[in-house]
Amino acid sequence: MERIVLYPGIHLNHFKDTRFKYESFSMNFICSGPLYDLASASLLSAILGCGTANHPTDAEMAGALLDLYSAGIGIRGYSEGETFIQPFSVTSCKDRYLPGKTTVRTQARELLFEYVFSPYTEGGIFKKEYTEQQKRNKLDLLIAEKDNRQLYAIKKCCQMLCAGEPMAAFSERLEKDLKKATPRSVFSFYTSMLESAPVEIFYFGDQSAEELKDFLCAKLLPLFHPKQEITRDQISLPKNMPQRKREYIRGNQSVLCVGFKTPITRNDERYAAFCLVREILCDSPISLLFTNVREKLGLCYYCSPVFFPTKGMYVLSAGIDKKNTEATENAILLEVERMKSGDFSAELLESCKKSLVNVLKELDDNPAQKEDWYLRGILTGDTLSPTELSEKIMKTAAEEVANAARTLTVDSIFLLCAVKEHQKEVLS
Amino acid sequence: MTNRTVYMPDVDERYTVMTHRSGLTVCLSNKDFNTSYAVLGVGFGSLFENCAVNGKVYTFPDGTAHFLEHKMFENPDGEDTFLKFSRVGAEANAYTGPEQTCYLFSLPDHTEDALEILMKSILSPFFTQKSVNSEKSIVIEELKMYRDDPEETVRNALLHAMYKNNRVQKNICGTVTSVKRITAESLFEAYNLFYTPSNMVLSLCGKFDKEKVCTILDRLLPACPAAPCAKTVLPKEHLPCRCFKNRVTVYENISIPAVAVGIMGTTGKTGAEERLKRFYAMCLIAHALFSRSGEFVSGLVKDNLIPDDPSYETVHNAYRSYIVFESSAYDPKEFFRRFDLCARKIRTEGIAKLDFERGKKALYADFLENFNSSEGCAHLYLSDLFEELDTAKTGRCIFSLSLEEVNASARELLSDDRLCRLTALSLEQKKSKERNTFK
Repeated sequence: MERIVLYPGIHLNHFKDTRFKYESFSMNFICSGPLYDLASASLLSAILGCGTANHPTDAEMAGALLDLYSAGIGIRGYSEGETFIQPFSVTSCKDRYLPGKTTVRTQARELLFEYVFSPYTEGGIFKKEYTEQQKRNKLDLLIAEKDNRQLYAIKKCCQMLCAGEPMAAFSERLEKDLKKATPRSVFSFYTSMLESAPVEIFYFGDQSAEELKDFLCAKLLPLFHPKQEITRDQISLPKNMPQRKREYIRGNQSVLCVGFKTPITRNDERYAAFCLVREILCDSPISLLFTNVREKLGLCYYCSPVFFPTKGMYVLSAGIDKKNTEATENAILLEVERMKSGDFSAELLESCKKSLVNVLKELDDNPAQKEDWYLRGILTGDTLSPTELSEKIMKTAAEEVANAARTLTVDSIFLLCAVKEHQKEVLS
Repeated sequence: MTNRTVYMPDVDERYTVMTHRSGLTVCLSNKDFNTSYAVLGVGFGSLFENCAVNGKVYTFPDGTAHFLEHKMFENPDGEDTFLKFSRVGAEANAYTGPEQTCYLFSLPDHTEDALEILMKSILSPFFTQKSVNSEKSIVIEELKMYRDDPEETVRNALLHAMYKNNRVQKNICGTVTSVKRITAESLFEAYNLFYTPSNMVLSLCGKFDKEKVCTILDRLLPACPAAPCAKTVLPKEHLPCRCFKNRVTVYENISIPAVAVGIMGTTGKTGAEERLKRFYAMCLIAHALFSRSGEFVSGLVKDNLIPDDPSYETVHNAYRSYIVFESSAYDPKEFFRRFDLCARKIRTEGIAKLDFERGKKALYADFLENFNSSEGCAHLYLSDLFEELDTAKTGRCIFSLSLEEVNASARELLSDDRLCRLTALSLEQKKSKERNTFK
């Protein structure tokens, strides 16, 4: 990988790779600190997708992309802790695999730059109709969040874990903020983002770094303004006593989320050991939770983890029968205690090391995952490459793993309790 | 082993297909990726739980194929196959579909060791009634999870409305009742019937030594093939050509109304090439109807009648044939009014030339994408071999389709008796409707 500064705060991460039939190019605007405004950022993503000056509707743009052998453009933003990433990415077939003398790279990139620099506007701001339409869509998606039980339960648990912090605050008031947003306010956010958000550019393909650099330096001139520093997420202390919440929902399966806090994030010295904690505890079919809570005790079909590497939050969620709530919670906490006391076999540790190292090796085969790896590293200030992390993992001792596990503190427990309809009415 | 190596100059890819003396079909493709990926497909999915094999009728409880998949990684030595895989650093998984059950692994090194683990595990099943019973609670939790998933319930309701009594509409996992009926004995019976080398395909892509792979297969597989597994899904008649219901409303645990459209295709005894052509013709019809650049969906987006990205899928093989479209929808009645207009227009006037050309480009790009990973390649070759398709002919097949051929298919497929329109409303709407009826 070659990392080139195009302008202070604007970097090109160039990966020469000839193995794929596609090439991919992306620009990621990093909205943190004063630019972290969840409602404006998520609305912006949606409004930008409605059209550009040259292709004023989604259908026209979709048609233009199909003409380029289904070139794919991605502009859906996402949160990473207390940072919003606004990506503009394009993947397109390499010309040599296409029939005739087709050239798609240049044209596909031009379409992408339309989204970045020439969104569809009316009277110098976003079109009112597009803004209102996307507000309604966002609000409806909020209503429909409960339809995905597991994600909804994890979100609620996260809100408990970081209550009072920007991540929870923005999430909780999202509905209110969305309703307040106007075409002008979102457009103002867009111009601020172009002006001051740092930009991380990733390229995977055949084009040389030098050629791409020259192209981008000319193309990105409008972005060459002083950029903000990336604001790192704050890591808060766990509560003295775990907080519990329960919400009732009509359905067949309950979801139990046990939320932990840890001071370990990706740039921590103990991160390699913490990767092993997660792998041994829950990340694989030989993990303690899979083999004991699912296979031996038969308490759930899934017990899956989510780690928020910028916030030091770790959530374990399990789909359970509600009568097994206490048993599952106890079984999960028992396995966490085993981790803390180093009660896991040397063989399990070695297998988990191999598995993690292999996952890191396999990153190389997937440009999207590789980009994600480096981007998260940039957000947390971690400069380790996958190979360097692999080396650290292989050198980690069992005691270091137990020490890393001991940083986990149960902070919040959320139960999305499935009940039959008549019960829900009584309990609500 | 007999073998055939194919080079595809358009996409610069090469693979070798071999038939092992045991009857196992093997596809090998060396790729310059860190990850090697193997998938072993067994020709036993939920469709075959009621079938005739070599003339004899077998009926297994619904969900047997899926349950068997859950039990295949147990071993006589008491050690889980996942643990064996982990020693070589492999990630393993399995899944069950209507036609096949697939077991897979991926890893960067020691591919041959992992292959040996996989083959040993699949060739020597071990489970007791006790272990079968303890698995039931896990499978039932899995079933409950799917029952809470709106996408899953809407799809099931649509297929049920289209096919009623045919196995195509059965849930792959079965039901709580059928899962409770599964025994170790019935699992062994299904295993002995279907888990024979001649009913399996192994597809391996990535870095490996071909000689070593062959040595492992020679060592582990029987020297001569078992009787071929000639399967017929029961009931024996072909899938119907008309939907059981053309319009249906269901009430689900959802927040926003949903709509689904099912378009019934035709299965039947056609040659592989004809089937591939038919599949891509259906894909082009689906594209003309449902792509974001098309008149129908772009109109829905513009008028804010659907909230997010709709999805659609085309299935056409020897056993199933349909196009399915699903989306949330704010006004289902208006949605179907517009759909009917669009379907009628395509049926009578044909697909616009521009949509047709764009659709072909999209299909070719999808085909090309398979070669971006060992996983994509392995699955592509596996499914083509099960379908007896020649992967090398795919690109040519897409570009050789004429607008006239596709329009002829559209006239057949978009007739009203092949269309099923499903509206899924929330349970609150059901209660409100009941209250109004009562008043």
